[in-house]
Amino acid sequence: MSYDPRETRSSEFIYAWESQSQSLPTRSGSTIDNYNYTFNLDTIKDSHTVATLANDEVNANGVSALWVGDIRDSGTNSTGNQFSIEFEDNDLIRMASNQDERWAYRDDQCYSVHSRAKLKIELIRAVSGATIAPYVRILGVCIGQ
Amino acid sequence: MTYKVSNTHTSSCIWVEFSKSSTQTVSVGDIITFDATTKRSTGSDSVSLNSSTGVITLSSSKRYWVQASIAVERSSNNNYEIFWRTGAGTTNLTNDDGCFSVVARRQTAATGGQPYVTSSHVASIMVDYPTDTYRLYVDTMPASSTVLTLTNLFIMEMED
Repeated sequence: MSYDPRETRSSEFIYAWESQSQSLPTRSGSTIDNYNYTFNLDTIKDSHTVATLANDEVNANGVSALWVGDIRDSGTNSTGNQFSIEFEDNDLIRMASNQDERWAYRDDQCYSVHSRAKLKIELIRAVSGATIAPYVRILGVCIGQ
Repeated sequence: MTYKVSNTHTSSCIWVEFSKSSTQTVSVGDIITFDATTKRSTGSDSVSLNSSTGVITLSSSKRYWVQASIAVERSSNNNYEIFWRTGAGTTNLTNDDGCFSVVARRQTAATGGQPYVTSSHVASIMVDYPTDTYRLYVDTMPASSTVLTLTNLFIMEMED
């Protein structure tokens, strides 16, 4: 494994999260894959300030990174939460991770490789409108350009 | 394995893995442990682990992404939370510290008692040049739950 970000400020690790509670939308019906909901992000840490955060998107400014996205939401409607999370941009195949969880030992993170990271709900059947505590997170490591 | 992290700078990267040799019964206040003898590494790393205390020691001259994928079989239908703490610390580390916790929720009977909940099972640390040691603290847990051997610790060590 090797990478060459050609980044003079040498920032490998980037992480961002939402520090405030946020309310998810409410939706039910047939399954669609273009719901276009974006999770909020308001805080970024990057020891060499290469990446920026604006409009809920982490931007590594041209440096490709491996991103990991995760949320934690407790739904309250009778049909539960049936949706996946994914990154808006991904140089890999589309990877949407199911959040309709019934077991304690599943990995429900999503992944991407891209210079930007915006966490979305696209594939969905239902979402409960729950207010979630700060638990939206994106973690990234630069891997190339 | 070599990572070139700038156009004037090359950094080596080593992946380190620990796992559990047996299940672990845990309750609130316990520390998640791993078996140091299970260590697998892609090179000569600077990571050490105390199998008894669960304390992870990293090098203060390197940078790390530590990921613990924790598999829990709950003893009853209830929540659990696992946080990072320093080796001697008594408070949970936060996102501001580069530490991200594990949180799993179960719904109550009022909402049908069904586990319509999305949880997170990977605890991460992103830290440059750490001066502290780390451990995984069980903050909320149904008493006598079980941490399964599916649990793993992955560490990405980057040399400056």
